[in-house]
Amino acid sequence: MVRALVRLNLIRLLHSSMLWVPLGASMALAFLWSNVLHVDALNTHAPANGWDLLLMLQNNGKILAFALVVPFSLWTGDLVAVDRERGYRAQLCLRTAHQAPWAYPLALVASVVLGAALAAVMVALVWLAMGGLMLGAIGPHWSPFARAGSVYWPLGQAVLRGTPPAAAASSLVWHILALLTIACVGLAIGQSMRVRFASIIATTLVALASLAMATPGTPTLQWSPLGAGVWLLHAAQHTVNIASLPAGWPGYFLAGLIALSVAGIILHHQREGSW
Amino acid sequence: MPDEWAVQCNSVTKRFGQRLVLDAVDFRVARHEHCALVGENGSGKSTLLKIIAGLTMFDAGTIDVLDAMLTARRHTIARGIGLVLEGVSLLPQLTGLQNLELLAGLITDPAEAGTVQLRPLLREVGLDPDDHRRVGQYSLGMRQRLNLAQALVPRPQLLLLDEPSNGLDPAGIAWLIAWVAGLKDVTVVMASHREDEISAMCSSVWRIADGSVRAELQGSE
Repeated sequence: MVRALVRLNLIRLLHSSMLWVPLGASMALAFLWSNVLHVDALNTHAPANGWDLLLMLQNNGKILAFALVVPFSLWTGDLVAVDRERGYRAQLCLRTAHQAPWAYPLALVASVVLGAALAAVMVALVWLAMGGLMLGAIGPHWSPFARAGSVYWPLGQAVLRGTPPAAAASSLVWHILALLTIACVGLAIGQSMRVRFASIIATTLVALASLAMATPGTPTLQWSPLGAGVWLLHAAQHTVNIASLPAGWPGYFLAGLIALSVAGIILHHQREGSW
Repeated sequence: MPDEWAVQCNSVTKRFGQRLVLDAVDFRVARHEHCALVGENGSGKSTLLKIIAGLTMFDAGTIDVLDAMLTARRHTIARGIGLVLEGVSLLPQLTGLQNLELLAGLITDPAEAGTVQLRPLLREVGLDPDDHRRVGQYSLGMRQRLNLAQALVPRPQLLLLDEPSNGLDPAGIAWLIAWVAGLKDVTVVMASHREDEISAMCSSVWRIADGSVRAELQGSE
């Protein structure tokens, strides 16, 4: 029985992570994808020409992709993890445990792959719908796959675009902090409330740190001297201003992650019946 | 190990960092004996149970548990152990019966996997097998009863119970005393800090304090 208890606790751990892992994977994918496609040439000016407008639309499509990926990944996680009201979650747990205990981790991996794949499809569809429809007309220069290796990394971006090194370094730090943010969300799979709350606090701190590291001229950030609250409000304000939206999306993204962490924890505990 | 002993700890030592929790402890339990480990919170009762179960490694000494010998260098888990540890064995998303089925399905050792009837087992501990509520909605006492039922799933020869009366109301404790008394063919080692309840359930009592274990009542040592 002792060995069975050890296996049971592994299942418990995996089970509680079912909702979070696809979410985290999808967010990470969306983040990477949007950075691959990131165009820092966007400004707050009115579109000067069709090309400028296309870039704006592409970036706004990116934001929309974020908005859609989140509920989509939640749904995906539930699809595999599954809706306990219908008993699927319990059935999956029991079936795999009875027939092949180690199939459960495979189910977890499948949920991640499925969640990430569906999120990727969603991001791609939205991107195409909002701006990428002209991808073929633009040519290989805009292929996300061609750009992935050279443009994603901020320093590479600096080299390509002649960004000042200081701004490039700041951007690099921001990218690292943003990835840490995602890692903090991943921590939310922790079993205990202490770990989960710690992850929220860490996410908040990372968001604040990324704010502190922001400097004028950084391609993806705008500086607000009034602090995080004002900055996030500023970001929110940008979200309704289609012309300047790209400047605010990091704040939107981070604020969204924090809100999702809180919402996910509440959802998780409500479903477990522990609240 | 002579057949009469279910558990025999010889000079078992366990440290957590610099803190010496068990200091060359000698402790033995006869087969079919019902034995209690008492002591203050943090005295090492649960640690000793986990060591006996094979869940926690120890630093020195040897332990004979049923047919297995545990040493500080060789990690072994004995067959035939039923275990109740606080908060480790229940999935809150499942019903009580599903939890038992899950555990039964995870037991792969032929010596333990068996023909235990889960529904009667649930009734035995005072739970309704047709209760469709999830365990997350159970009271603490109901969860503890389910934990006790789980411990019987592998048809144990040795039951290790950590604070078995946790969450039980007075009626539940009375039931627990009678339930333990009915386990005549099973060796029971329980850890508790509630000494008033222990005397009704156990024929021998060992006290853990300052890293040492000593017998308090005749019948053990």
